[in-house]
Amino acid sequence: MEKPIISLVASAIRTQHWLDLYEKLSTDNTIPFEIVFVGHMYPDFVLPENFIYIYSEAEAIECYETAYRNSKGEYVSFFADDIVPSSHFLNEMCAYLRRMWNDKVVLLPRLAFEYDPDARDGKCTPPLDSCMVAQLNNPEAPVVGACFTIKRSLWKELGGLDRRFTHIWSDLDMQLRIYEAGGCPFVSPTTIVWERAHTEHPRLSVKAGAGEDNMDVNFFNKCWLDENRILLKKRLIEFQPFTDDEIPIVR
Amino acid sequence: MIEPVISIVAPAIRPFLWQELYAMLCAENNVPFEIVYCGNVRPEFELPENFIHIFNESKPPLCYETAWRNAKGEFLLIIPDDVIVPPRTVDVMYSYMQRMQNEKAIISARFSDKLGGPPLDSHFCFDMENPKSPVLGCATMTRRKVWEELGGFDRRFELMWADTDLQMRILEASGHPFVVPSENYIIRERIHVYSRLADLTKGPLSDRILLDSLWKNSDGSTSETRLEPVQPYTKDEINIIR
Repeated sequence: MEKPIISLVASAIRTQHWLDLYEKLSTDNTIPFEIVFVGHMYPDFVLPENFIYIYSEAEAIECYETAYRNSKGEYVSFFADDIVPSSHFLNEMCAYLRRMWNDKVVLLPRLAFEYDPDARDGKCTPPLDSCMVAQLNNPEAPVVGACFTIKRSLWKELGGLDRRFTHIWSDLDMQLRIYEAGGCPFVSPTTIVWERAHTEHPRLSVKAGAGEDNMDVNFFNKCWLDENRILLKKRLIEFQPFTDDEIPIVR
Repeated sequence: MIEPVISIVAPAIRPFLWQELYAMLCAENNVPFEIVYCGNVRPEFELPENFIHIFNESKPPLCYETAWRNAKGEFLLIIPDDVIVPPRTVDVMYSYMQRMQNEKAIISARFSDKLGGPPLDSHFCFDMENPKSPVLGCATMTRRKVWEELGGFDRRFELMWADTDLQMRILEASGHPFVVPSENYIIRERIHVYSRLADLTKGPLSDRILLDSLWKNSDGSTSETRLEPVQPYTKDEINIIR
C-alpha cells in the first residue's frame, strides 16, 4: 500500500455509506489516502487495503482518538461517514495545505447541510459559509468548521482530543485550542462537504446534540465561555488527554 | 466625515470608472471607508468627502506608497479602479478580518478576470509551477500597522508585483492568508482594454525578474525568507497631504 498523505479518521457506524464515500474519494483524487474508521458496527463487505476499520465500543470521541493514533498520513482529517465530499476533495485540500507556511493551519472545506443524491449535475444545497463560526452573533468568534484537516504533528503536539467529551464538539474544542496556540483557519473555496440528511443519524447530529442539557455542550461552555456567555480566546479549563492505555494501537 | 475603518488604496488613472465603483462599494455596506487613489489623471467631477485623489506623476508603486501613507483607516484594502465589486464585499471581508486571531492576517476576495467568468482560485500564488508556493490574494485587506512595521513597498519595483512582494513579506513575518470563500463576493476585473494587465508590455518583466530574485532559491523552489533586504522609499519621496 502506498504511504498515505492524508488520513481521514472518524468514529463511524453507518456502514451503508462507506463504499460510496470510498468510491467518491478514490475515483477523482490522485493523492494517496487512507480511511481509518472506528466504531461498533462491523461492515459486511470486504474493505479495500487503504480502508481500515477498527472495532470499538467506546464513545465516539474515544473512537476518533483511536482512529487518529492508528493512522499514518502526514495530514489528518477529522471526518465522518455521513459526509459527501465535492469532486477532487483530497487533491484540492492537499494543494492548499502545501501552500501554507504556517504549520498550525486548520484547513476547512465549505459546509452544506443537506445532501441531495438526486440533484442534477451534483448541484446540491449551496454551502452556508456564514455558519462556519464558533459562536453565531459574535463578530469576533473565529472561523471553524466540519472535517477540519491539520498536520499530524499538530494533533500530536496538542495532545489529541479532550477525553471528557463523549459525542460532539471535541472537534470545535480542538480548533479553538489550535487558534489559542497561534494557529489560523483557511477555508478552501473550492471544496465542499455535504452532510447527509440529519434524520439519518440523530445520535451524532449537532441539532440533536446541541441542547443546553447536553453534557458535551455544557463541558464546552465551561471551557470557552465567560460569565456573559461570550466565547473566549483562552481556554478556562486545563486539557485532559486520553492515556496511552485507553487507546488500542492495532497497526 | 465619519472616521474610516478601512482605507481603499491604489494607484488609479481611470476616473471615468470611479463613480460607478464608489456606488458599488457603498451598496449595502456599513463599515465606514475611504478611498485614497493616487495617479496622474484628475477627475472632472467632484469627489465625495471620503474619496481622496492625490495627483502624482510617478510610477504605480510610488503612487501605491503615497496612497497608503495618506490613508487614515485601521485597515488597508487594495482595490484598483478597473474592477466590479459585489454589494457587501467590503463588509464581509472586514467581518472575516475581525474573526482572525492573527494580527497579520491577509484577507482576500476571490477574483475573476472576466465579468461572467469563474474565479481564478489556482492563480493566486507566487509561482504556479511550484506546489509549495504560498497562497496569495488579490484585493487584499491587511492592518495598516503591518505595512508600517514592514516599511511599505520596495522602491525598486517599477510597475507591478510590489504588492505581491509585500504579501510575501507579511507571510514571512508569520502572517496568514485567508480567502473569503463565497462565490457571492467575487471581485471581477473589467475587460482588459481598461485593465492594468493591458500595461504588461511596459516593463513588468524586469519587475518579475526582481520579484523572483527576492524569493526564488537557485533550485527554483520558493524561499520562505526574503533573499535580499527591502529598499524602502524615503520620507522625502512620499507626498503627505493630509
